[in-house]
Amino acid sequence: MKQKSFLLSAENLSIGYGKGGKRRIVAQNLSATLYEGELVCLVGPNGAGKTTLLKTLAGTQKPLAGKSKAMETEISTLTPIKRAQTLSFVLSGRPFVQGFTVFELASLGRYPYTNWRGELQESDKKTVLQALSDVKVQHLMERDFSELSDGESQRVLIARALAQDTPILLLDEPTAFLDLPRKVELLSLLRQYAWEKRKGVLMSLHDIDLALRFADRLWVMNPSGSFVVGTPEDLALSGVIGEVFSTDTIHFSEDTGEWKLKENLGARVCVEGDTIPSFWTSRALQRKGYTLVSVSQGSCTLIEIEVSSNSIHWSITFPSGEKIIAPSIEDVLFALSRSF
Amino acid sequence: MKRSSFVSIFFLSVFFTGCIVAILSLSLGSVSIPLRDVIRILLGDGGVKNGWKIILFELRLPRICTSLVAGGALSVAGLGMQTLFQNPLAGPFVLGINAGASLGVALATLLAGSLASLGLATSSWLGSTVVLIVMMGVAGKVKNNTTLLILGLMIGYGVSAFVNVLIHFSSPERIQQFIVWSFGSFSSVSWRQLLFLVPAACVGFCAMLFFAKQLNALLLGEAYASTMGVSVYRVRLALIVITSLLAGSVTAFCGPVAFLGVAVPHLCRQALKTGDHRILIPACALSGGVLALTADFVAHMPGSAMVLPLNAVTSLVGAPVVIWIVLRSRRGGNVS
Repeated sequence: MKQKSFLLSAENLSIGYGKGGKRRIVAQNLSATLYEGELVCLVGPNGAGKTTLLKTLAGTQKPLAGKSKAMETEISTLTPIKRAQTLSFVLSGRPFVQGFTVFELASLGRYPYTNWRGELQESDKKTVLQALSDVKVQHLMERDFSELSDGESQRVLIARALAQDTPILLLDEPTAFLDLPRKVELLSLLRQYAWEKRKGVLMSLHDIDLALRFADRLWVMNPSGSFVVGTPEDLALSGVIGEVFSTDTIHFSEDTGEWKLKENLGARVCVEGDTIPSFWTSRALQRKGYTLVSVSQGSCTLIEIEVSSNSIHWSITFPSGEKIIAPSIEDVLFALSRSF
Repeated sequence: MKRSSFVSIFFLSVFFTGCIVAILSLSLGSVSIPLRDVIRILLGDGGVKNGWKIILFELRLPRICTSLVAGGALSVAGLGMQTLFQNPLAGPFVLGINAGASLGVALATLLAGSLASLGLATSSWLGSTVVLIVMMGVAGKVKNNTTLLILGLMIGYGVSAFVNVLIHFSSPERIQQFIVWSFGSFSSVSWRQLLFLVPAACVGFCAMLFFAKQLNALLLGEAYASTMGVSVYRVRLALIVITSLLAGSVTAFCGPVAFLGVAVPHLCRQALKTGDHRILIPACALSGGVLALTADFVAHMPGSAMVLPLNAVTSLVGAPVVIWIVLRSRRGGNVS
């Protein structure tokens, strides 16, 4: 196997604010590496220090102790321009910028390469256009940045970072404000970028579910101080995910990889029938807190789903023997709530 | 491209407006000089009333030059501050430069001690330089620009309070002199003083233009700018110095001219529909100058011997214009 070359590494990094006696350490002894061609998600509960770590790695904030290196060079020793040619950063939130078209905004990414007037050469223009088409916003090129939707503006900000053409791309919560399909779309885009162009992409993500599905590796920050690195599946198996993210009311179910509410109405329900209607019926019942069991597990309320050519019927048999036919999942839930 | 031709049209039309107002300012005023004679005097033709010659060369021409230069300088300084502080209400005086200048002038006029011999310009310049030095010291200590903005405003308030105390204990005649200075005026600048003002404004303008690229990056905020390779700290110091040079020199000679520095950048941004400083800096310089010239023309109330305070005109005429433009652009769609 070919040796993977590393792009970014943290060695016993302590991050936080202030200096001297007044400093506040957010997290310490962080060691991790970002390799080329991988998408790494930085996850952890709110307040674990994800943004602080990203800022420290981006060099906009100084580490309190330890080293952060970009390809063998310590980041704090790089000149601002050299640093901007090595790392690009997409911050969280949306800056309010008026009077810039999408193309002009993305072309700010060429800052570390242009002359003192900031004039774009033909090659710069090509890079910017490529970046815009990489995140599929080339059709917005002439639009005013301030008029874009949140999803569009997030992509344009990412295009700006791509135009900076750096081996390392850092992103702080790039999917905040986006709806689920757009989150998934954006993450696939970034993963494709990392894989195809052999870049290192490191992003913080509060959506642990998506991180587990998309990341090549996870960096998990725990407010208690532990910092664990690994493949999502390894971390799920070893229980790290459950340990870091579970709270009194929610826990990570290792058998389904889903998050579940701990509270339970206790009522036992068994669902039988076609796969697809059964799946959604079970989802609804889980959401309402019923315990799903199979018929062999003793007394329960039985829900049988009958699919005919143009309609679905749910027939509910209560332990008492009473029987109800419901025409929709909503009616099923209503009937159950009445009887328990 | 469409935009570049639009930009040229903007520059040309502002330039021609400026020419027309300049000609009107030469000809009209408390004494009307027929246009034909204005041209004859300018061409060095004899046989025109000597008094008119003096009015033209010693009063109106320097006043026109002063208003063009001062208006442009204040507007460019205001643009720089608005971008640095990411605040639409920022202007050339947010760093407390006018407060420092007025302290200098207040000490000179109100105490009438040793400072009085220095003259208004020098004492004003001394005052704003002291504030500049304080701000430079502070700028190195604070982390972000918002803190710097608040500190600048607070220093300004503190200094103004001190000026008020001075006013409170001064005699009415001296207060009168101070108040007249604080109204602002382009009339009291001689050719000799212009020899200082013009180079200062030119140096400041060129320096600002040199930072256009950095200012464009700063539009995304300090954090983004820093990840793009801008050394935010150095740019901040440079902008403080440039602004002080521009606004400090103007204030020294013309008093604290209100409003232009805040309004003109907005007007230019609206008119040109761009945030690009490579276009906005020259645009602000030109339209700021023309607007100042127009305000001065109005203040001199052609046909009468009365002269209105310059600041009253800039604010009274200017504020409604800006309100109208801002409201119109909001209705235009980008309600955020």
